Amino acid sequence: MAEPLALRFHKSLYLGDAVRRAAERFAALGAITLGESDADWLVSAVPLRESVRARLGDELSNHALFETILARKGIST
Amino acid sequence: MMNTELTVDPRAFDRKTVGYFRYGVVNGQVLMTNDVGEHLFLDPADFHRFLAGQIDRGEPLYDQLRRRYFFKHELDLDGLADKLRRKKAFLLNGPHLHAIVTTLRCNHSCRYCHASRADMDRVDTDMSLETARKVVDFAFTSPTPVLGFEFQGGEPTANFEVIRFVCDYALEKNRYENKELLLSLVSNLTLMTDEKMNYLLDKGVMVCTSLDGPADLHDKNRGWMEKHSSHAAVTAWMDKFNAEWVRRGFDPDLFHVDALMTTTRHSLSRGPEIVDEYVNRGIRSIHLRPLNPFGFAVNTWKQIGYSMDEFLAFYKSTLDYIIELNRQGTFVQERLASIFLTKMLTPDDPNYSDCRSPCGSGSAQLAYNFDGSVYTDDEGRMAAHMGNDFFKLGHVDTSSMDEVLKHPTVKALAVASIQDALPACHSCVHKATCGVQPLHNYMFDGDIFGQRPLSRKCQEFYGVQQYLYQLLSTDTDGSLQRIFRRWTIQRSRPGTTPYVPASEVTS
Amino acid sequence: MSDETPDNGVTTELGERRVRFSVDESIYDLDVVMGAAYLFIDRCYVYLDREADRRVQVVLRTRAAASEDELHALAGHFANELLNQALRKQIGESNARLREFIMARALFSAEGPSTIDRLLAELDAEEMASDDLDIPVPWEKTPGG
Repeated sequence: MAEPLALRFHKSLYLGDAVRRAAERFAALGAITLGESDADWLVSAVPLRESVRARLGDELSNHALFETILARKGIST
Repeated sequence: MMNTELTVDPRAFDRKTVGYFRYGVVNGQVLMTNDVGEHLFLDPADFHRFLAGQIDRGEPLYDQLRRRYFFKHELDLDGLADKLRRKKAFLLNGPHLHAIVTTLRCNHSCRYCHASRADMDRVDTDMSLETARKVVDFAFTSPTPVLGFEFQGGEPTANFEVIRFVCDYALEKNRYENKELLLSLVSNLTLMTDEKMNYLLDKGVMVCTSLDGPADLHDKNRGWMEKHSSHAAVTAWMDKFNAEWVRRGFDPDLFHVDALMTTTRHSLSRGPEIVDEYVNRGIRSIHLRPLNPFGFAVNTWKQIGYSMDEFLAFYKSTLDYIIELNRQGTFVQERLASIFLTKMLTPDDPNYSDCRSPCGSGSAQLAYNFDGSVYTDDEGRMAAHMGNDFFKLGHVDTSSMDEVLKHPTVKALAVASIQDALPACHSCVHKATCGVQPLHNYMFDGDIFGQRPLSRKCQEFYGVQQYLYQLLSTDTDGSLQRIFRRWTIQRSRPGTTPYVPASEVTS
Repeated sequence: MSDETPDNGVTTELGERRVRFSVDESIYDLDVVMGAAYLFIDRCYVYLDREADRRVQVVLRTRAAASEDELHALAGHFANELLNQALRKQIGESNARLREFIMARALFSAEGPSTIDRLLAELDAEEMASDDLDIPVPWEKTPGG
């Protein structure tokens, strides 16, 4: 089984709903679980294939940024 | 979407005099635009003086900035509100364009076709006369004063009985409704007969077909299920229609078969030949349309697809050729350029559904599938065919126009296409003259809110507008602007509105 | 490899296919940082982190291989975009009420004629105290460049 990919998104920068939507968006690429610490939204992702590991983290980060910007403008996807 | 290649100092900003505007860089000059589509080029030094409130009243530049509503303290509020009202006039009407899929059957199998087609024996995908009547009744309940029916497919003439019924019924009904009625047909023309042609001409139905260029290119793109040339069949009917319009005494510049072309990889090196094919057939408008990269098998895309950079190179060189023809006295316009130029150079907006804010899906146009289902537009219908009913708004048996217009999907599409709320769009220099089509985002990205910097449609629209402004910025003698302004003049056909084909995706 | 440029509110550090910025949020607010970062997602993967109170760390990882010079250029473009986003925000904020008024007038209102002087006087009366921005000029170019 592939090692989980650990991502964290600081709560003062990213919105929790935005991170959740980003995780849902890329759920087809791996088994994704969400959590949180005091400071961060935590995403743990086990990629379906090792070849998508880097891409999964990168794309999920971009999407979390996109969703956060939209949400800060009052738009929910 | 590019970064701003200009260094600014936000501290040197005079909030008392600087009005609202957006800016970018074109050819080393600062392009300023505003909400009503006005634009002005400034050299960077003048731009910084403007920001700092240092343009003196006595300078010619002061008056140029004032007349274009860039000065906050000099705003003519009523004039600006009037201009904005005119620019956004399309918001005040209901759906005016009603695409009717008379059948899914088609005798072509085009390599890039997204229309959900069926084989010619699938008569179960034909619209019934009863459904057609309900579609017409439903469409007439739109509050719009201009009502257009556009027949699509499949190949719509495979079910000509419904075309005939809709035309007759709509014309009869309009004797009492008194709308401005426009009838149009999008057809590959290969099932045309003299009898059908004469009927269409009698009823004033404008015809739009597909023509991808010279015979070898057109036939390569089109998988006709006959052994002879699709190009030969199409062009023969185009010539016949056009001759008949003339014989009946109509102005050939207004009354002729229009055509849409789709660019494949095979087209990229053949721009001038494609334009010549159009011009030689008397067609004065050509829309250089890129492929929409969804729904293809990977191998097919490899054979006919291309990057947006490759398309834009093709577009620019072909546009240059079209401009050169105009300089030599041959009038021909590129349609996407005309749409943008109308927004840039005139007080009006051409109300092009794919390039509006908010978009026109479900609010300016509707599509009716053969079974009477109502969709936001033809792309929404295709999305449904691919398994997503999000874009289905109702059914002519059970829904009212009011229910359709207030459908949550219509609202969602509007929200997803209001550029003032979209990151990157809201501050883009081309915002006032651009538009967003959430269905493109959905088809490409699975999400009606696409990430604009990654959107091919954004890259296309940004690239085309940037190039048009680039050309305008070097037009020192005004000769190009005279050509461009002529492209923005829409002459109405008597009794009709200017013909704007809705079928930007179907072949 | 690293390149420290401490005088413009942005410090930069380079790595393989990677640029890291530290942005002072008291100079560029979060909307400005995010607005700038978003314009890079066609070329980069973007990740933001909280480096310290009022400091945002921005990591841009290029989608394609990039030379050190290209990464330097990317850093310059980003710093420049911060300035442009800050200016755009000012233009938007200082005209927000006026735009709302004109939009309402264009689409919904049937009131009599208005004058800009009267409206500006009304807006001035409500004008929030506006602190001057403390935004330094970037290191690479001078205004007008």
